[in-house]
Amino acid sequence: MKQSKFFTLAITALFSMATLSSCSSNDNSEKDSNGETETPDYTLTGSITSDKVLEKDQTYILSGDYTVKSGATLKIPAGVRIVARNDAAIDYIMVEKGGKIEAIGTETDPIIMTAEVQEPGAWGGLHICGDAQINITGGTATSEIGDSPYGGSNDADNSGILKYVIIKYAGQKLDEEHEANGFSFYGVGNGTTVDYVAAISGNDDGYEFFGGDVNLRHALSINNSDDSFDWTEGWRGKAQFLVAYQEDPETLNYDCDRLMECDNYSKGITNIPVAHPIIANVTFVGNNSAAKSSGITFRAGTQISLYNAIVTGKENIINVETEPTRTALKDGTSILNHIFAKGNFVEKIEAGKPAIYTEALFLATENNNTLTAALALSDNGSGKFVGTEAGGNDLSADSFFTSTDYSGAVKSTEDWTSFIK
Amino acid sequence: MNRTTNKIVFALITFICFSLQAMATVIEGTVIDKNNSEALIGATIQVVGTTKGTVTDFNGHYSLEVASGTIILEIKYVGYKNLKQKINVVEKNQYDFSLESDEQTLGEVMVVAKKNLEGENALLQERKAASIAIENMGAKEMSIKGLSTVQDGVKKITGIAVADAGQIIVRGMGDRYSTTTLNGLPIASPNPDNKLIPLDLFPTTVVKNITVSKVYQAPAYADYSGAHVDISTKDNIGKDFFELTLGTGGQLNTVFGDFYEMERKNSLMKTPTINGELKTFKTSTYFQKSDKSPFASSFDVSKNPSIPNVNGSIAGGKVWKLDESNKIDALMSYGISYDSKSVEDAFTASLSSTDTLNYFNYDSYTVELKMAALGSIGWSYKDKTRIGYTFFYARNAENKYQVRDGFTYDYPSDRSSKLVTSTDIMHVYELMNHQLLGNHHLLNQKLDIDWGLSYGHTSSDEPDRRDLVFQEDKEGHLKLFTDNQNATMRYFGSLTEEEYVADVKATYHLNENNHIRIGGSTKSKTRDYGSQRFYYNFAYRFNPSVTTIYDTEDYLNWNNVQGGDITITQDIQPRNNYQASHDIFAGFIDLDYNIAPYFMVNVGVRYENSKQSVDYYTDGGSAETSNLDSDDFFPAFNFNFKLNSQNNIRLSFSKTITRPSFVEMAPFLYKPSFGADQIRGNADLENGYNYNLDLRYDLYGTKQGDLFSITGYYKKLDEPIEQTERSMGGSAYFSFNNADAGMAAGIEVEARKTIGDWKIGLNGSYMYTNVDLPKDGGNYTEQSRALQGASPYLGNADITYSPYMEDDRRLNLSLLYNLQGPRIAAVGIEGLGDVKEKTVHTLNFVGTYSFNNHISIKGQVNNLLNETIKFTQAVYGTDEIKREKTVKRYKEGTVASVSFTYKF
Repeated sequence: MKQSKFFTLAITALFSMATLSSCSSNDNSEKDSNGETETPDYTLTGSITSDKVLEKDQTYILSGDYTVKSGATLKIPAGVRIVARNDAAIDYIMVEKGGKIEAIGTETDPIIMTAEVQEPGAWGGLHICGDAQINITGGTATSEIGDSPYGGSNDADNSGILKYVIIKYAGQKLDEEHEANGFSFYGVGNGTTVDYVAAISGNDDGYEFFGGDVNLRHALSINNSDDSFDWTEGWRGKAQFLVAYQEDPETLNYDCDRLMECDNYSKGITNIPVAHPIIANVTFVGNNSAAKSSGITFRAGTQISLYNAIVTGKENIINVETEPTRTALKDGTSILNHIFAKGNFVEKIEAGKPAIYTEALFLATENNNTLTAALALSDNGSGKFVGTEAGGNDLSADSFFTSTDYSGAVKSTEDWTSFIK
Repeated sequence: MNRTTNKIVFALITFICFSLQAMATVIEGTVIDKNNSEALIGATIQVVGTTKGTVTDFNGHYSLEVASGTIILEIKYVGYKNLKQKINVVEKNQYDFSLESDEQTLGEVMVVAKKNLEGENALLQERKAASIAIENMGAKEMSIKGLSTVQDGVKKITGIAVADAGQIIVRGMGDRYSTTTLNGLPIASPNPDNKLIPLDLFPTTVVKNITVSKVYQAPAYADYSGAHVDISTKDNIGKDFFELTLGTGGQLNTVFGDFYEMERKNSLMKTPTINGELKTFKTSTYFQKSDKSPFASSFDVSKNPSIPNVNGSIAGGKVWKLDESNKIDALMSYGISYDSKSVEDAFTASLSSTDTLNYFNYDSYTVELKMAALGSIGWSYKDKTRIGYTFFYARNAENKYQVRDGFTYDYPSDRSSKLVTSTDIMHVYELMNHQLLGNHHLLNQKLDIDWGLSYGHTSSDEPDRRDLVFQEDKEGHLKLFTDNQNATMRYFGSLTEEEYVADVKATYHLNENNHIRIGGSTKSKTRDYGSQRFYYNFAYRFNPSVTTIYDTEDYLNWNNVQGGDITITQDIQPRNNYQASHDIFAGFIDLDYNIAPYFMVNVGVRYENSKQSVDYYTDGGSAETSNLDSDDFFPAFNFNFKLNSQNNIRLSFSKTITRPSFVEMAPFLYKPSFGADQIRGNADLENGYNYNLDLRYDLYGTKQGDLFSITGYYKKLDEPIEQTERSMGGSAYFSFNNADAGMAAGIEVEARKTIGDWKIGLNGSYMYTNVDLPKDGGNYTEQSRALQGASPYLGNADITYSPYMEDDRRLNLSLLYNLQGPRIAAVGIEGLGDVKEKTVHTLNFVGTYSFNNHISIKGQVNNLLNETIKFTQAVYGTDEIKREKTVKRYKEGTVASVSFTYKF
């Protein structure tokens, strides 16, 4: 029958098509779920899904990303050096939401994370994602690098311990618009301990907080080209004893930006929870750069309680911007008290709008603030950031804060910064 | 549309419908073969001594408007003797003719019956006879209307709009919902961001016609719901010809004005390549130690008067008759055009609920060189076999220089200063396609076998994009911008795609009207993408005096790199590369069946096995693969009720698929082009499915070319893929998610009418689209909205005046109007409204005049209205009061041109 011939022909045609179509086809390749690398050459790469303990005083090479997955803990004992490889890939350490890092060094044997190329921007830094609240609509976001989710509802979330940890030469370029910070805290909760840490010679921010409420003690940010401290997306942590120091750009051969850049959230300045960290005892020393002249900038709706601060080395030392930020300062929701500053106070007023929080209000007697402080920093050995001013608020009613009767971060008689030397 | 416009449109439609019915002095009848009484399709009937004439339809039927009185009609048909007959129109209006076959002439001209599908009337016949609803536009109409590319052509088809970067939006549904084929075979897109190949790659000089079908039929690949756009390239319809066209013109605000370009070592004919040494990672020391720059061009900018646009094309065809049965025909066509355009005093901004976050004024200067070549050669054996080879090559090279000034949220740190950027972007799209197509009529014309093979190679290159950033203080002093060390940079990106296609169909004619078709096809596509960047970092001590942003060699010279004042770092991260493949194996069966003379069904089902795979790298450089495989059946039902020879109702139902593109299905960070937002795909993305329902009513006028058509459609989108925005460490990227559900519904109206020497065409569509966004994540203001790019209304109107003239002289004057309603350009987040592009009206004028059969000229003015294109966004401040703010504004400019054609 004619038709059956025709069908035979058609089927033959289909078969020959099938042969033709078997060109390139990729095999299913699963994610390397058990990417734990036990290579004898001490290379850190891939990801871990169960606990991993590094060897004390050992030097490890970091190649590409090293990711701590949910449920796993990366334990780094004292004296470990992690050195990022000089290659085309971005080297960074990522602790995902639900994962932990326990990096516990000592004052004399700190943990150092650095790079083969000892220049700012040589590697991508430490990134920790947590489950605490952030204020982006929808409540979640992903990390600047690694696409790791962060943000949730557990403000008591615990991402581990960082103690005596130094990060050097971070700030690698991710693309033409982004670089990686030294320490990036994404929605990290206040169950996490961060004490005695330093971010040195990075090509981006020293510390950046993306929401969350992680607390911070004894933190140094030295010669980071962007902001020494930075927050956005609603950080609500506590911090005591913070040092920002920027050397002369002529010496460094690069400039450094703000001492502290403080946003609630630039795309939604009234988003909640509103950023409102409580910070005490800081010493911020800028580089007197003509180009980068702002010191601390409170903007994009942030609130703040800042006590016992020494702030110097930038022409416009305190800057207050946006209506909600200035209103909160005026009505007492935000507090600036015992600020020993040297430089200009600048209130940025929108065209046609009235002033809200003026220099006069900042300098009101009960605030104990000054803009002309003859700072006591030179009366000490190092001449950089050691030294305090008499007078300060005692916040020790909150057990997080150590009782102080001075302003500034480092008392010459109690210099806690020697671990970076 | 306001009420007055509604009334006018309604009145016009009523008028056209009415006049289609009420015709005076019309004669009609059929033309048949004298021997077997079979209808002759495509026979010409002409009133002797005039240019009035028509062609018979698929039933051999014709109708023609004539002056009353005695006239002589001449009836011609290939292979038949010409017939001249005197008739008196007053007596009766039904005239049937029968033609005698001409055995003597048969050998000379008889080839596989081929219709000239460039003309409007022949295409309308195709449309009427097609088993599914289609719309089409031929080379002749495009020429008269001055449509120079296929992109301009499809814009004139009902319900189609073109968005930024040539994205085709059909019935409000974006690029992903449509598909393009070339001579019926799929064609790879060199555009990494769009599924469809940029349609401005196809100049109308090489195109025979464009067929758009918005309903699905089983022989086609099932990945569309909006439209299937098939571009047919020219083929030789059986006679020798040779023609030459030269033209010139320019954008009125650009031509002879100042025109800026960054240094380029070669002309646009040559695509720059990267120095081979730089294909692997080099440290900054490598650059410092190099004795000369490894880059071909500097950042220098030159200023010259803009030269006028020029274009030219050459085309020829020849037929060789080998013997009684064998014939070879060949055609070649080559076109080239060089255009320049500028956009001045434009701006773009991005907002937060209270502030302007980024703001830039910009001027841009674009030069474009387009080339297209088509060659085809075909062998025919009697009326049984034709095998043809077609080669198509196209290359569009565009170079855009842009100067911007403004600020971003973070920069410059010194707020009294502003940023000034000097940017040069070259983009080259290239397409090469080989097709071998065969048609065989076997078993005494009972069985047709059609097959096709094609190989396509396409590429998209962005070689050496250069971006140089300055800071200008309030006194106007310039310096290099150093707040962000990545700002001054070079970028090289390249994408290539290869596609093999094989397709075979067998059609068995059960009888004259009923056919069964079966076929199989396969498509295998691979893609390779890679990019890299070079950042220029300036040492603090390096603070050269900058007097102008244009002369850069005083400071951006290689000595300063060697001296360490400029450090170059290469960014060649693994994640800037990906390779991908897509293989499809498909088979179908369908049936055209006349249940009754007035009721035809086309039912079919297609099976597709699809395997998509993307090899990519994580941010940290680990290799990963993302796969998406599926097996699907796609049913299609098309019903055609022929109420009579003029009235036609079509009903269609089908299920189709929308697959994610390569960059959408793998989670690597990717930036489509300069200044664009970053994209990170989603490994969990699934295919979306579309359920399509169409109902169309066609009313064909008694006079050739008259038409009224109204279509209603409803589409249910199951898990449609939607672009979403996600926050990423303070900035944001776009990703893709399956939304829960979406829908699109609308009404389309089309009317064409000839009144004496005037021809009027109108089409309009009104649509409603909606999508419910995925609940997880996303910081949108609205959880439910119109589809991105969907305008609630679109319209076209054109009027052509073609007066009767003595001898071979011809005149055509056309005015073309396009209306594009407001549409969402970007989705609002964090309490901001959506960014909306405001309504745009466009008006073009085209005039052509033929002095005789050899010489013709064409004059054209595009975008006569030159409206300001405006984008606005609703903002709710802390006071919760809604304000509409303009976030982007520019003008396209009016372009005038003239061209001259000589036909030998």
